[in-house]
Amino acid sequence: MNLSRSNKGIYLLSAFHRFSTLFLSGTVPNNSYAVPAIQVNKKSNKHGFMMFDALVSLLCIVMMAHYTISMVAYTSYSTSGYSHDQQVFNKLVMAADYSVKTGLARKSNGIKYPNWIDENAITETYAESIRRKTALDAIFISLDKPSQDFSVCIYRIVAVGDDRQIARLFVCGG
Amino acid sequence: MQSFEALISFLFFVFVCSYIIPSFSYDTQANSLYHIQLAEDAWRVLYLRDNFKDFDDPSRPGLEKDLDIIKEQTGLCVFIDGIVFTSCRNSADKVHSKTVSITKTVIYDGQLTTLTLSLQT
Repeated sequence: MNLSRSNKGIYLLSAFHRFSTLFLSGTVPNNSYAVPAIQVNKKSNKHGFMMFDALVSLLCIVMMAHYTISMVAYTSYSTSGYSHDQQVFNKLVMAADYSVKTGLARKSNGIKYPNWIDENAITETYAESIRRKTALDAIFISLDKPSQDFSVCIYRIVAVGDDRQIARLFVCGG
Repeated sequence: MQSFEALISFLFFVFVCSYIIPSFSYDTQANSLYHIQLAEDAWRVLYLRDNFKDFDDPSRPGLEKDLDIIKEQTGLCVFIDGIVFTSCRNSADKVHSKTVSITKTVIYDGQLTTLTLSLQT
């Protein structure tokens, strides 16, 4: 079929009308209003619709696959990050509990007082020994908030000094 | 018509995935043991500061003051049931939060009394 430029426009308009009517009412309009000179091949038209349907369906399938892969990748990434943070958190909880009850607890007349912290016992050597035991990359133990960022930070409520002031013992690591 | 169906199917798929897949990610830490330890800490520090020495005295000014210090430093609400004490006097404080409780025994009014210390995180 050899169509001129103006006839091509009419043909496209006709095809759009047929498509929108089919879409809205589900019936194919007759072609009585169309330019009589144009012979529309019904078989080729049907092939066009099938190709369009196949194209849109394929596009949706590709988008579904992309969406699924992205979501799974994101979930996997966040779960691995969570798993690492949870491991660090568990180790810090263990280290803090040991420090509060034994490692940094005050001793008087051979009796240990859990939660009553001996400030002088908080040293770099003590922190390093805890870091080695817990196999963490870095650890911070102090009565003051850490100045640098750690991936996980916890605290315990303790008493400090002879007058047993309420304070927080920060245990952070990563 | 098939393209329309394909589009609807895709939108439905996205809608369902948006609800189901995020539920598989673990974004909350398992920290209940840590909260119990904090509740034990609160009790232990109150004990170290002699707040349960004269627990029979109904005024207990030290206890209320210490609960306020804990609230100020940690943001945690501490409740002592039995003899009602709380560091959160504002009812709007910590409405939708997690609570852990521990039970302790003290001598109150000449008798052994069980108290529950609750910590709202």
